[in-house]
Amino acid sequence: MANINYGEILKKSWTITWKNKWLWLYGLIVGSSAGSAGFRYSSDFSKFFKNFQDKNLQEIPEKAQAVLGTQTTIFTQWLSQIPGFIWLILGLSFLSIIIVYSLINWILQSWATAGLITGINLAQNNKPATLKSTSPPALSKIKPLILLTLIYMLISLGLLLLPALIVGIIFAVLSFIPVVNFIWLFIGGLACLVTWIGGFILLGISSIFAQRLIILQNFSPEKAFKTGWQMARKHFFPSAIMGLINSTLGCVVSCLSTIVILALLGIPIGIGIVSLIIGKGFSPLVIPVVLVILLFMMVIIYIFSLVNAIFTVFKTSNWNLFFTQIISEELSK
Amino acid sequence: MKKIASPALRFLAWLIDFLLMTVLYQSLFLMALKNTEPMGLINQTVAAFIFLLLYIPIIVVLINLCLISAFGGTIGKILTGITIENSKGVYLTLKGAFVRNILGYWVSGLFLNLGFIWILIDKNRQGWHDMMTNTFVRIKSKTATIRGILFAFIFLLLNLYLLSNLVLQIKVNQNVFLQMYQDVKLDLRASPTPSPINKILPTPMPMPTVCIDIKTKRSMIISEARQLAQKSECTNEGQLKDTYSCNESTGTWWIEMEPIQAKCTPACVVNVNDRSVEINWRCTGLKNI
Repeated sequence: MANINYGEILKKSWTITWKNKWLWLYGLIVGSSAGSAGFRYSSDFSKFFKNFQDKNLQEIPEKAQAVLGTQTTIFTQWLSQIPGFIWLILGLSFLSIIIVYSLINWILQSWATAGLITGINLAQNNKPATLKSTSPPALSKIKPLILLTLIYMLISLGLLLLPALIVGIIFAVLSFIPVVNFIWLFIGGLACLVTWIGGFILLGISSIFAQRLIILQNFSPEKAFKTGWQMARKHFFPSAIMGLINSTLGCVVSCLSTIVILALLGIPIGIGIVSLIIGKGFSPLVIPVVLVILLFMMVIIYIFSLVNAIFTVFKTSNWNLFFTQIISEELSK
Repeated sequence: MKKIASPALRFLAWLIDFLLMTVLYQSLFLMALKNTEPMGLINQTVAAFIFLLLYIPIIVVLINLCLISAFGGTIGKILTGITIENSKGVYLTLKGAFVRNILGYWVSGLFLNLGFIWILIDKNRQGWHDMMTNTFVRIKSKTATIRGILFAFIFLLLNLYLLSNLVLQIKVNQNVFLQMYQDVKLDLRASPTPSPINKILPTPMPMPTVCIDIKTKRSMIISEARQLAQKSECTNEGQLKDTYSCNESTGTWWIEMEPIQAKCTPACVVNVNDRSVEINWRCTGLKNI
């Protein structure tokens, strides 16, 4: 088992993160992908929007009935005269735009990941990590990183379906024996769960290694995946501890940010409620208060996206330093 | 070595591109608003919005990428005589232009547009999108600055002209838009409230707000029909009532009237197709001589 000094890694990571502010830009992009820094508040926002959408969706049948039932107003007449193929073209257009947007986002994420890892590596070697010095090498790594993601997507899909399929087939075969059937369902389900948890943790760790193998060691995506997988298996426990440290830190940052958001938003919202109570309904005070809340929210979103970016750089740096130690130990043997 | 373009010059190039886009958008809307027929007007306005939101940005971006790789810049940059070049002084490839203008602009605009503001700070006048691709914006022709200012001014005037026309057309068609807005508002508000009476009684049919001729597909909104009726001989014979109906087979609005001489039950009939107005007395039984 590798002898890893986690305290030293965290200390060094923080120095790298704080000194190299250009890396925050990469952190901003990498951190914007879902759950990358364990920021709970972002998922809370999505939950809020989901609830909002669900509520609106529930209202649709009523509204649609109210709108489409009459066929007499200019709006309903207009809606009813649009031919089906127009809706089809519109749907396809929206779909293609979403696909294009997602592709661009994917390319950007890959570039930012490559730039961040390259930048941290430069900073580790006391070289300046700027946008100019990190972007050109990062651009050349976009394609291999996208290929690597595709490999991981396929493997993840396989990992998700294969155990369930095996359990399902055996369950179908044993369906003639009721008691054994029931026992198998329990054992098979448990085995499935263990395989999924273990498999996905191993895949997650191996992807962290594979990314660094591509960016820092110029590996091909296939070779990086194989070597990354082997490294993840060999150094599973130290890697799991590193992941645990990162997750714990992420939880702390997430909790603190939520508390700060609630405290900061509580003030203007409180003023709003008080003004509503004093004004007994709508008062002219409501408009400036709503504006202040909106402005406040904008500022908070920017501040916390920056905090998120810094934390993403810190987390990536932890993994980079961990990877360097693992590689140097492998070479020294 | 060519001189690096100043932020002011780059802003001028951006302004020309922006004004060109607004000319395009305004022309599109103006074409849509020229339609006097309600359904056609709504159709074309919505189509213009969809074009504006979905297709035009993509088309413009693609054109810009081609221009950058072929001539070293967008129309604005070409007119102001500045070009985007790499460190060797060569124009970008299509791939390079994609990285700079799509990925790079995305990155520059990510945090309060700081990547663009960076042009003012950096000594090489590089924004984040320039740094990403290691490109520089250089002056190709010094005299072109005047040309750029001139074009910016022309496009600005063109925008103002189009805007004034647009406002005028919106005013002409404001009845249709107001009607549409009211219809949507009313339709969305009219959610059925479950009450015992509502369950027993049939839901009353709401008054139509638009009348479409089945054969010609021409249409007219009720507010316009009322305006035409008010200006016609109908008002000499009686007062227009609030009740009205649409006959889609004949393409006519029928506005009920309160006649001065209470003999018949007349209606003011407005034709959707030729906008003509006439009284239909709708007298029944024998006439007293």
